[in-house]
Amino acid sequence: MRPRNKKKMKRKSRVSNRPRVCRYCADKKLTIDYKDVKALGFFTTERGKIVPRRISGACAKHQREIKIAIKRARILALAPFTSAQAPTA
Amino acid sequence: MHEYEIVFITQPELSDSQLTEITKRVDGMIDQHEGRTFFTRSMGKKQLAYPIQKQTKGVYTLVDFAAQGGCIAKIERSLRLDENVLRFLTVVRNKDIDVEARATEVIARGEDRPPESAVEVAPPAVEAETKTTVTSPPAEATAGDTETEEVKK
Repeated sequence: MRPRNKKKMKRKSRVSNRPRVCRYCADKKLTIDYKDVKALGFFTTERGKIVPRRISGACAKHQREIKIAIKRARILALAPFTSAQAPTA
Repeated sequence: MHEYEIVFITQPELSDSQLTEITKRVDGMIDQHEGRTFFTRSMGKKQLAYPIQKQTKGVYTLVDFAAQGGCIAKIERSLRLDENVLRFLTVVRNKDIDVEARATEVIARGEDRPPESAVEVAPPAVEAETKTTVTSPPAEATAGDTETEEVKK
């Protein structure tokens, strides 16, 4: 069993780290594009996983679009499916 | 008529003439089906995130056009048969568009130019960068989570 306090502390820090608003809602001019690897990089971990909404702070609508964009980028080899695929060169 | 966008990756050592031949063929097919090409843009040679057909680099080309849906299958078939094309992706950009209106809009907005050249739109880019620093800590947090997950396994 994990000590109760520790669990609570971890959860608290996670909330404080979270951006309060969805960046795509905050700036209407920003568009989600599967070709924009740099922008999608904020929504993927180093392992190439898609960051969940509770951490990225994206709203439901934009998270859906981000998800599709990341998957398209993976097909075009703009983003890796897994970190095992990371280029060695 | 819908607006489509095809991105295809070709072999890195392909000559320019071979690449133009492929783009010409795609354009020709669009014309044949009464479509209209808005722009064709090279996205340059890029490092692939994972090897495709043992290639670690590829040349990306983007074609934006309006056409009847039936022509997509034919274009995709021709790209699939071409050994110099490593991969392609077709995406519907806008449904039921007015071709003339969209054509003028594309030029007015400068959508046919690569995004890097849009330096005059500097403020949003800077803003995005500052946001990056804000969002990076949670990304690290997730990395930590995944590590613990592995430990559990």
